[in-house]
Amino acid sequence: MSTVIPSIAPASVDLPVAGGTLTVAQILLPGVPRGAVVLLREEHGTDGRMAVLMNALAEHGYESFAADLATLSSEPLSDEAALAALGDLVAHVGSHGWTREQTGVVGYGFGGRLALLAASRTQLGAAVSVSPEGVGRSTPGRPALVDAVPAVVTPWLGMFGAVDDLAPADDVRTLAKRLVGPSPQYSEVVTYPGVGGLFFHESAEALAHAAMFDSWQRVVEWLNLRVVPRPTPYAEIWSLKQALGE
Amino acid sequence: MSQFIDDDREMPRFRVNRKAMVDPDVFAKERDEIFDQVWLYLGHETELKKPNDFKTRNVAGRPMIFGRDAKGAIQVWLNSCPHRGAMICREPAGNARFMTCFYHGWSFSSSGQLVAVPGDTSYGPEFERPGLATPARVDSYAGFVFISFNPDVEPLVDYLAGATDFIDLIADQSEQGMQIVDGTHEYSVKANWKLLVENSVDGYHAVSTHQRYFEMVMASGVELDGAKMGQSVALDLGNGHTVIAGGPDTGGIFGRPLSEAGTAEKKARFDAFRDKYGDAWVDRMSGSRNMVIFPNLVIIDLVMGVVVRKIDPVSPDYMEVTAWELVPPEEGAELKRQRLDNFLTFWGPGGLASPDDVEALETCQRSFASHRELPWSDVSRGMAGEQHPSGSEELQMRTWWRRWNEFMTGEVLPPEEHLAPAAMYTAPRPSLPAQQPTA
Repeated sequence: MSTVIPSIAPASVDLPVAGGTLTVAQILLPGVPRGAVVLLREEHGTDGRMAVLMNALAEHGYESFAADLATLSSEPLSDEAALAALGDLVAHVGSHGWTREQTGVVGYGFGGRLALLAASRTQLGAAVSVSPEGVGRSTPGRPALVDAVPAVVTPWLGMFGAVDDLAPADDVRTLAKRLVGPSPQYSEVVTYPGVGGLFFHESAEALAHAAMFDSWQRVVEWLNLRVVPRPTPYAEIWSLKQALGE
Repeated sequence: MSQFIDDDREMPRFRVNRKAMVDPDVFAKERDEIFDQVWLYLGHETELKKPNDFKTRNVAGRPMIFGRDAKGAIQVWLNSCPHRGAMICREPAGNARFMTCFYHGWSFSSSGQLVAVPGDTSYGPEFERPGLATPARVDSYAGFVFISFNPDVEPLVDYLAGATDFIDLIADQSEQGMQIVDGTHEYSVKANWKLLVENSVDGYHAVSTHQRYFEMVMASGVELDGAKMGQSVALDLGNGHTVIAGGPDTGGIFGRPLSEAGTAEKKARFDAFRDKYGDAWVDRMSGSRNMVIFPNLVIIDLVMGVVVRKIDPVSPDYMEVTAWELVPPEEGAELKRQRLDNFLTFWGPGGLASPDDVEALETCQRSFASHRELPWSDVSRGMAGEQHPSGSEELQMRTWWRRWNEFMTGEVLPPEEHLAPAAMYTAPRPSLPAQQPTA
């Protein structure tokens, strides 16, 4: 008989950000949570899947804050406008006591694009992009990532489907070559064979299911290996004693 | 006289008792009297490129974590949780700012601090939170990182003694700093570890053991230069370290021929070195060198491939070997391709030379079953006469064995007296700052 952990319904918060009001779904945890994660949805993605992911993060001790930044405008949001709003969202996470090193950002699609852009500009605990949008192709206000991201300053994991028309293999290789070696921080690119860009959704097809399962494991491992854990009260006492030389 | 070494200066003759290769008590004593006392090679700084990169490997039987912390500083940890002992890290390599013991979930940062303990309220506020343990000493020379489990060990540069000269000869081959190529050769040999130490500086075996390699090289159009091949000396570098040093331009004589473009690039690189360091030092740079840094680090610069080889004793009749290639990163694609080709063709565990060495050593070990009937191995070649021994003689092995004997028995055997080697083998390095790795 398996134990079923009751799921937590995310609370909804209207957050004033640059460019409007952002609806943020958030799960806060009692005790001393391990860290915080900003979840950036696919453009106009579904709330239900995010709630599942937020609960899965809670099982690993992470508070989470999920949003779809594209909802800020009826027009496609530019990178700069979205990043300004993301900055306000990270500040909101900070208001719950989380430093940037204690915060990871995980994004899907357009959210994955923003996670990479954030990783190129801001030092966070960790960043993950799942099927980030626009690797080799530009649209107004959203230059190709291979041109827009010279390096990352936050450890970054990118995951792609090998048969994704929106992220051709050559473009992904170019992005990886540009980031993995020269960046001052460690980064890694994973490509799943035989699947398209939506590999992170549940699927009955074997390769897609394997990609979904593996990619989520990688998300959690990436965060656990890099996001700075919040110290417990006793750990803080110990750190203070160490600092005072006691 | 030591039970292990017969160093007869009258005859003269030098013999090693094969008991040293088979006896478990000798093996245990080596761990206590040598490996727990001296500096031991851990790895090269350039293996760790980014903050929080790490490698795990064994040194003197201890599992170690060799890494960089979040600020990029080199850190070395014993790979054992201070809580109940499980390995903190079970991966051979990776990148992690935090590592969590899978046994009870204690987490440590890449700077060694204990950062999280599940349910830590049960320990109370006064509990002393242990960080990861370190070896007694950690130091590096030209990017080569050494550790020692002996807190009273002499400074690394003093320990390395004359070996620093030969490390400099390799380090100076790159303006950017020599770098380890990603990836390792890992193989094992069913033989005592000291046999591979001997073999690594044994010029005498080359023609007989590696006949098929030389046939392949000649079949590829190379005319082996017998005069150059014979131009080498064995040198005692102090503290048991020893080298076979080849004369000028012997560094590539055993390799497959370079292309015209590769030859031109190599010449241009060495011409630039001559401007910087002068002819005497660059003549030495262009020569081959097979060096052992006591007890178990081998650095060989031959056939254009600089191999860094760490020999790990596991039991009296079994060793594990890890090898890396060190390269100048600024080399062009064609020269790099040929360097890698020569390296793999000669040195790799699937190459045309190393497997023959392994076969030779394993047959030695099997035959040592008769060590009571046939107790002595002979290492006397080049002992007679005033002439300074060449690289195909055996001064280098005797040098290493005398130091081994000193640690194991306390008996100090004096160095051999020969004429000084030719000046071209010992020309000093101009007083320029040593090259440092850039990673």
